[in-house]
Amino acid sequence: MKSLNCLKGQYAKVIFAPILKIVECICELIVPFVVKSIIDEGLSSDGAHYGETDYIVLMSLLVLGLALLGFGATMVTQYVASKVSTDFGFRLRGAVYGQINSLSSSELDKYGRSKALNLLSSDSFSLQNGLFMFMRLLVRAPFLTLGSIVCSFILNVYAGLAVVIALALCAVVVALVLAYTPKKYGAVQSSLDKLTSLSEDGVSGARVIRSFNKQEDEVGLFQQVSSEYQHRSDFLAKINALINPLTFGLVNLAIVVVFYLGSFQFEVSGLSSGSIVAIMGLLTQSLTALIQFSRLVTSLSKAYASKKRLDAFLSLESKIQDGDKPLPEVEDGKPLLEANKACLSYGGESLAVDHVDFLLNRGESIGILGGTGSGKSTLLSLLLRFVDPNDGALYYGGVPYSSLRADDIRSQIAIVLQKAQLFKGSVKDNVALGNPNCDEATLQSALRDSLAEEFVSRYPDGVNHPIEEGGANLSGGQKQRLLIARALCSLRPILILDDSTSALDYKSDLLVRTNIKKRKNVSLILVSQRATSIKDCDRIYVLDKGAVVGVGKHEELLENCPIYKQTFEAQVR
Amino acid sequence: MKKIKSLLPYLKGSYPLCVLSLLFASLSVASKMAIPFITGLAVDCLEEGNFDIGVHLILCLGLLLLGSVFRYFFDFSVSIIGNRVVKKMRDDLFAKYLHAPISYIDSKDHGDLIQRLIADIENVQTGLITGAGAVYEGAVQILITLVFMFYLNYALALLVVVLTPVSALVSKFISTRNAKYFKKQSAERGQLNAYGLESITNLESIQSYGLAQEKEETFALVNEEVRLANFKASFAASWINPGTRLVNNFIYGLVILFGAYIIVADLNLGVAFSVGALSSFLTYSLQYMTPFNEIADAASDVFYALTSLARVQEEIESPDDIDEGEIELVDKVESLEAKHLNFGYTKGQKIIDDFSLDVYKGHKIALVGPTGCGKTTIINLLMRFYDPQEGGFYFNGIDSKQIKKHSLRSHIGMVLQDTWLANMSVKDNIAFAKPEASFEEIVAAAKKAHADEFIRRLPSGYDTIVGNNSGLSMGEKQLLCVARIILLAPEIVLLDEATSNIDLRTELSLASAFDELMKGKTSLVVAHRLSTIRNADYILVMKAGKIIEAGNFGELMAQNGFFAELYNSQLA
Repeated sequence: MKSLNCLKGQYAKVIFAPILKIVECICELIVPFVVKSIIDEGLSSDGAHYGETDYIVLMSLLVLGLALLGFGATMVTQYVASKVSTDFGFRLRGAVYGQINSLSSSELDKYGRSKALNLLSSDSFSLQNGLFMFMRLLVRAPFLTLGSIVCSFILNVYAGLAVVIALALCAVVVALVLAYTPKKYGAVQSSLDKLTSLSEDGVSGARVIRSFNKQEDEVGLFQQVSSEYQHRSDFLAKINALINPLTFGLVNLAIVVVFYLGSFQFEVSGLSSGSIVAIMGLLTQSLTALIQFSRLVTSLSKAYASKKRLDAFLSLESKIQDGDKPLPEVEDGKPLLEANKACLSYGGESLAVDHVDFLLNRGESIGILGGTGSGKSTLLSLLLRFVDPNDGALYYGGVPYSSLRADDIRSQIAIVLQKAQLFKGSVKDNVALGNPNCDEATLQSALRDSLAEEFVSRYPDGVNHPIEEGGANLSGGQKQRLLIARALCSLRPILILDDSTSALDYKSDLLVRTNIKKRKNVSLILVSQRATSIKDCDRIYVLDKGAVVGVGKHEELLENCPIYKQTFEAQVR
Repeated sequence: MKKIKSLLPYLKGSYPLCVLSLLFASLSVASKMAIPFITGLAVDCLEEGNFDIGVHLILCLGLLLLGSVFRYFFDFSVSIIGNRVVKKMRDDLFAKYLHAPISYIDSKDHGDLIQRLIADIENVQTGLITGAGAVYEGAVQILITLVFMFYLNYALALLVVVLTPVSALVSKFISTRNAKYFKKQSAERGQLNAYGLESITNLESIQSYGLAQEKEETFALVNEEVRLANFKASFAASWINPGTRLVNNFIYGLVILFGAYIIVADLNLGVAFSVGALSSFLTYSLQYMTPFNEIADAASDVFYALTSLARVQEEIESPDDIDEGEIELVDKVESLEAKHLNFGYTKGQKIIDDFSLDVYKGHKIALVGPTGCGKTTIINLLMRFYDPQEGGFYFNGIDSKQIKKHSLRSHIGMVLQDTWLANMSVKDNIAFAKPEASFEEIVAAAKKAHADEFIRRLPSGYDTIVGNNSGLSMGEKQLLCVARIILLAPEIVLLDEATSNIDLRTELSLASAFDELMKGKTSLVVAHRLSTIRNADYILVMKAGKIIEAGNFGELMAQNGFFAELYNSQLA
């Protein structure tokens, strides 16, 4: 899907607005002719209406009338353009937000979450604004410039030529500067980026820099870069400063040429003084329009870059394709979740998950041990079907994931992630997220077993206590306890804790795990970096560099899995 | 005015250029505004049937040349002055940041400090240099235009002057309304961004609990508010250009009406008024409003710039870190003592309570205790980032307050929990404290710190640019910091252990890197993982700023007190 699809049904308006804008331009182009008539007919001794006050008043009123008509036409354009572009922005953001939700989290990670957020908060507005300017301004400058040229030719062929040449040269000057400066702007920007990163270093590294007595070196380095910035800016200024004088000079040169033509007898040149005054007006108008146009080009090129980004994002398609089989019932002790030689690559040389076999029987508790980069998060993404394996397969109750609906699989799993994903709202909103209509007893037991009750009960407003965005008003341990409560409250049959107790002290960690194991009808997957946290599980998988390097109970692994043994010993030494 | 005075030191050395640029502005505007006057005279000649206007044209050519050249000089010199001011100001402010006391940096929001250095100084340039230039140019243009207009015909000129406030009122009205709508718009956009951010960061929760539908519905409501605010703001803003054009065109129309009427009715107003004069007048009135708009635009920049200048000045005027120490610590540190330290970051607060310690040369001392017990503060005091209210550290029997900070710190190397890397290559980061080190020495230090292996796996090995936000894990960053100290080989090592989020393999590497680092050195370790300090010579257990237990590992475990309880809970 492309971003401009959001304009559907609006095309007539998109065309209508600029056409109305032309009315304003025509009004502006007529004015010089009226002025010429006043001078040549009303004020010159050989004019047809020489000395007639009525004629002067009538023509002047025409000028005022044209100003009003142009203003009216423009305001209609502005209204339509505002309406169409903001409606467009509204739909565009809706589409982007929908797309964010339709991609799986792994797919969004691959695209980049902050990039996606930028599409919503910045690119959509920049494209909307581009459309707005397109409708309002794009027609004005070229039409006014071309119109001025045509009008000048109507007034006088030679003068018209002078106008064409002057305006063409102005356009060339502006175009050259526009084409040449972006690279220079880039250079200035990169110096500025360097300055920013140096200043970040200087502030965040205050202690380290002082401890090494490096203050003067850092100041020296900064001065070097700020000189570079100064020189690059100066150079850019040297070029930018050309636009004003050159366009001014060229337009006035054309005026001089027109006068020169006029200095021949009227019979030879055909240029009346009224025409000369009119041409002067036309030239001034189109120069202003041209400069406006150059600014427009800069903004439009920004909007175009946004459009490309938006199109690329909107045309992404989720690779997770739903099947149509219903979720099977699984008896106690029978395989619930399985992975069979699952492989997944993120494009690098090595596999993120390398031929992993995994099994969770209903009612079991399983431990997964592994460090950063060992592939445990990827394995969890596979189990939740946020991503499908490149090779091998996953099964729910013996049925391949590919023939099931992703939402059905996910509805069986409550996962507590390392990241504290809390929403602005109340404690209750957050805990009952997966089970909004739960009864009070369910809520309370979830809070109790996760030890969240300890601090929630201390709030005067209890479970209605507000939670800020991202849980900013909670400590790390409190956040983790609420997340565990949320998972418990959802009453889903499979519970996954992904290093979810790292911010709890050792005693609370143990207590929470004991509480969870006491709950009925829960199959548990515990993921941890601490061997001590998972040593009581029915089966432990040890992951390293994406592969399973050991499976078994704690005692078995101590015997035959060196990594497990090393880790355990380092942690209890 | 006082604020603007503070800008003067930065203009020092640019005074001649400043005066010149004002001159350039005046000359270029004068030349520009003289051209319509001359063309008016030429029109009169043509009207009278005198086609000999060569002199006028040559004058015009001269004026347009002067106008262009001076215009270029003006635009260019204003940029040059601005860039000079920016450079001086940034250099000064950055130096200030590096010479300010740590307490000052700690008390400030870092983003805000950088904002002042980058954006605020840029505002000063836009407002007080470029903006001031534009205001001056605009004022000169208005003045010169009025002079020409009054010279041509005072009655018509008066008409224009009378109409000026009308246009000012119109644009004032529009911009006040705009400000209101824009405020509303940015507030609504803020809501939308916050909602989008929350959804994107919490995507897994939304998907695993099947909330997409519900979230999309709420988003549509937020989005609708944005659309409304957006429409109002953009339509309100779109009155500006057509509005001022309308006023301008009206003035133009009225000038034609009255100007032509004066000529036709042959009104005797005490001055001659011709067709040529009317044509000059029309050109002036066409351009009359432009400088007003430009001044209005620039004025808001000037206003912003004054606020920014005050923000920059506030930092520059803050006091430097004072170093009252005079003694150079030349000899090796043979003894290090802490005597009855008492300290709080604010008055009345007691973070450290009567802390004393005697460190033998070559010993490894460990500080343990719960979060907030004051362990890290001891490092702050030892490095003299902060000074205690009472008591002090003594190096070779000398009170550390009497030793130059520079000299004191040159004996110590530290690795902090909040690891810090400069935005530069791995190589330069390791050699940060010893820039003259050879590549072989750097690699050797990295190997000792167990960092060599992962460094070689980075995209450009030792030349990879890293920083605090690069993809390195916390543990990897700490390994690099350890390598830095190993290379420096200071007499005393301070170490604040990282608390969490270190993966297993790195954790194992770190443990042996720390051992390597402290081999044979006097060292002070703030420990979070108690298993890592079993081999310390002396362990201090702190709680609420006080030492509550002390001894070696065996002794402390035998006491079966607070330390033993902490240690056992970590094994559960």
